[in-house]
Amino acid sequence: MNNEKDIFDYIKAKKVDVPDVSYFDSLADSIISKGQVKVIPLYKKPLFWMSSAAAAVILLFVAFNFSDDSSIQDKPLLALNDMDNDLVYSYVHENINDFDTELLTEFISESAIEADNTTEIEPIIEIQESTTIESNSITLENISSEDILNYFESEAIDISDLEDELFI
Amino acid sequence: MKKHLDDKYIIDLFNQGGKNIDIAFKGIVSMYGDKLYSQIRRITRNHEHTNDVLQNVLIKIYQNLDGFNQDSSLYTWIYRITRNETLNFLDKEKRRSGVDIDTPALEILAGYDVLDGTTPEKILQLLQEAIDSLPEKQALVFQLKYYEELKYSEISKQLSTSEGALKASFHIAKQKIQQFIIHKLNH
Repeated sequence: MNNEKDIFDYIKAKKVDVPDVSYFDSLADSIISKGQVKVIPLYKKPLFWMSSAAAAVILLFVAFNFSDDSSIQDKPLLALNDMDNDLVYSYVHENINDFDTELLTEFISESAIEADNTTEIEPIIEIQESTTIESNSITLENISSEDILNYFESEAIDISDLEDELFI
Repeated sequence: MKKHLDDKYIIDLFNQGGKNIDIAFKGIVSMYGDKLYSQIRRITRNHEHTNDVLQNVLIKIYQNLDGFNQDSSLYTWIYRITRNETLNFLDKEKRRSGVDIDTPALEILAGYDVLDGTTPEKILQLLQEAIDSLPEKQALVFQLKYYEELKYSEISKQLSTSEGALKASFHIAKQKIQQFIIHKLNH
């Protein structure tokens, strides 16, 4: 009866041809040499620690220098305070056109301005005021017709050439 | 004749680090390399594929031996890695074609009508499917006894299991495989 037969009596496994010992030796050596590049966890890599240390130093530097707002604002003022006032005023005077007056007033406190009795600043104000007054007062109404005609004559301007432009 | 090294000796050697890691690893390759090669080649049936799979297996052993928790014997652990790696390879290889393969490492003898009309190729395939369906330890015992023709005393050393338990395990494995193959051939 078939069911009583052992199937393994009728199937015969053949041995697999296995390479010789040298094959396995060289395979082992190959694996060992590749094993040198075994995956190292990130936290074990020296580069990681060097980068972290560099980042920490930068963070500390930034935090130490910029965390306190007053220190940022004090630095330029401290530098100005160390300078001679006359030097500063003369510089401002010479370069007044380069300054924004609103910006200047932000940095100079009222008390500092009031307390300052130096005379150098007064001419600047006078010049500015007088210029403003003069520019405001220069109108044709304040000039006599005679002066205007004399000006045209001195400049050799023919008044008839201006009729079209002046809608006379 | 190869000297059988104790699992504990190999693990201790490995854990000592340095050059001892390489010595322990070479010991493993020396003891189990040929068995692993046979195990893989019976399935891949091609030396190049066997070589690729075996390399992957050995790399995994080398890199993960420190994680071997000794719940099973070293060879059982290695067998598991080999089996998984080979099956993964087969899954990938199914998509390929045109690969030269060995002739079936199996011969059918006359006298059993159930096997009439079938081919060694078919029986080999069913045999492998049956082995894959077995519990890991039974599959391992069957392969060592049936394919490698090792004595129970040798298997006992490698798997740290009594010879009586191995005989029972092999007997049960054979019965399960026979039933599996006959069932498949009759349906």
